[in-house]
Amino acid sequence: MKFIDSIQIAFSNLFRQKLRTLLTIFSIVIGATLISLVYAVIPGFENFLNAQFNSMNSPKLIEIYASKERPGQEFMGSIGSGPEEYKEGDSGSISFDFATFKDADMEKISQVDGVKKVHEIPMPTVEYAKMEEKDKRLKVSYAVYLPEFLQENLNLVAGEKLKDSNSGKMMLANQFVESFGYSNAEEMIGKTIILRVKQQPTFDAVASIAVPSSVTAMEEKVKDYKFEVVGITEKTILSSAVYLSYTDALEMSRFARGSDNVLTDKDEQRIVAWVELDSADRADEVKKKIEELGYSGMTYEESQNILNDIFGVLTIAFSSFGVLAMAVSSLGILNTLVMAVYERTREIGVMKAIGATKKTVALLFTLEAALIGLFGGLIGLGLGFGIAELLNIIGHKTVLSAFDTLDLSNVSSLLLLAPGLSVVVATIAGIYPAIRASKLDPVKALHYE
Amino acid sequence: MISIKNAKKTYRMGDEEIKALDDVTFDVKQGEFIAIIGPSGSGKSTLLHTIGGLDSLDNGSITVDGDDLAVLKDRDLARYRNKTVGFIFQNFNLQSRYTALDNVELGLIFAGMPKKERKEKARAALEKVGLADRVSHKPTELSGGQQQRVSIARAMVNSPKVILADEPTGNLDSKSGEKIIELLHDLQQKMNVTILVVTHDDRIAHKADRILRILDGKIVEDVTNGKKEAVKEYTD
Repeated sequence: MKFIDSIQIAFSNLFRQKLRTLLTIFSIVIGATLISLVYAVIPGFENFLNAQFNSMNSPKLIEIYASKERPGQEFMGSIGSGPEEYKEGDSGSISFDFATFKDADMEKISQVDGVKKVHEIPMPTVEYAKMEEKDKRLKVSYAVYLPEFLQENLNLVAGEKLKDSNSGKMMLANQFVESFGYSNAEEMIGKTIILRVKQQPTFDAVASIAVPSSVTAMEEKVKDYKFEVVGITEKTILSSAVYLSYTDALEMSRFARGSDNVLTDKDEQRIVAWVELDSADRADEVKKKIEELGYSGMTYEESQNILNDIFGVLTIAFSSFGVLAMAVSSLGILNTLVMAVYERTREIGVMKAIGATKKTVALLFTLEAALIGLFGGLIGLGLGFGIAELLNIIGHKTVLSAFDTLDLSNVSSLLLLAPGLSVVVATIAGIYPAIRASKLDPVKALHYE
Repeated sequence: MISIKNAKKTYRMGDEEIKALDDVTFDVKQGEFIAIIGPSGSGKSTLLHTIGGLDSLDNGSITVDGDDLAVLKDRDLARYRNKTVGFIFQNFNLQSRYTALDNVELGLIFAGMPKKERKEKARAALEKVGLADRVSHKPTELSGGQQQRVSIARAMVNSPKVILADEPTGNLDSKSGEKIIELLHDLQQKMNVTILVVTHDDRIAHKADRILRILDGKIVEDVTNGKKEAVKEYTD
């Protein structure tokens, strides 16, 4: 028997009991829809966040911490792994005792072989940003020193990247362009922006004043810093961020905290820094050396793995609902086909009498099951992707309007998983009825009433 | 053409053992038209099923056109049923959702014949049984006699050497039955097909070259060309 003929016969057999077949197909559609939805939406999110993550990151980066344990690691480590043995000097509960860097530490780390430079990260609090020539004031969520090496994967829509030596210059998030009333990012290049910084003394600054009552009496101090716009980034989730050179960011930080201690030995917030490597290949090796010196660190790869792990877990968790639904529907397929074997017993007898082998009979039922899976899977894929597309459209018109590059209906080969899996599940469900049909005694089958 | 030696087949019905075939031995020549008669449960159908390769013997052998059925594996047995023999059933056993043409074509599909060729062959077979104008009718749109002719077309479409018919006129009125008998006789005459018919129908017995009477699984009478011959074994 030719395979194409088997498919044709199986196909026509499938629709003898239309309603039953449709209901059986529908049962597998549910699982396939869920799985397709998961594989359309989650990789979309993952790609988006990965791109975001990479836009201001580099494989040459190790984030280092002054403490022996990475902050939060102790907490993460306590999940699922069970209690660890207590050692003298450990604190019983999770501690948030962050050690701070001193100049000597920085010196030691920069001497490590493979380290090109240690970047400290001044992050001044900015009150608002304002164009010199306009009155409109905009909030700034994030003002930070962004070293050149972290700009490798950053795409600009206008201007050029910020050099480490570019004192007095800045890069802006794309969203400022529209908010300041420009239609084209190019128009903003070369313009002057004023960042206002308000002094908000922190505890160490207050303590140094030594007169607690003076806190309330303190005058509100502000200072305006002028910058020339050199670059506009593409849209990122950091929609109101500004990027500054080290010297400017440090100066603004010191003013904002009302203290010259920022990033000195007296700074109690000096707990994290960025190590720039000579070469990304040496990340693990350098990290190990830094840890041997009594600090902790997280390489680019590790931080990316954390992100990927989160999405991996999410994908498995959500798609397991779909797999479960499919497993349940396989019982429906089994039932449908066992009934079909009963109904067609005489017919199977005739088929055997006129020359069908056991294999042919088994193949016809297996194919019928596979076709149920295929149709269910394809409909599920269509529905799942359709729902994802709908979420995408509605999402981008509402809550996700700022994130152009977030594609919730992500097309990838992973989408073939749902139809593939439903064909496999259905085919497995069809094995028992197929064997049963093929083993029917032709004489008994011919006389079956 | 067909050689049956010491064929034995026993069924169990509850505690009772039924000897469907009890040491049956006979030969059939190419082109013979044989009527197998006997009361219900005497083993006629079992004999037909074993010759057709649908059922196996407990003991003894059946050789058809050089094939010893006992040694054929499923695949070869299927090919034997497809090519060497053709079945005709009392209740036609046509597939109701298929047209006459589809029904006749089915065996050719199992044989792996290309579409165009098998359509032509099936059409020719239907023409031969006088149903050229009924090819696209479904069984429910055909009379009993027409349905049986479709099943004859199905049985002979692959040019078998042997046709095995189980009460082919049993479900038909006498006029339709007559036509079926004519048709079978015609096939034998024109195509030199060997025909074995299990029947209660005297008219078929009259047309036959030879009559085998079976009782309790034994051949108790073997009559050729109207002459009674001594039967080797008698009932106990």
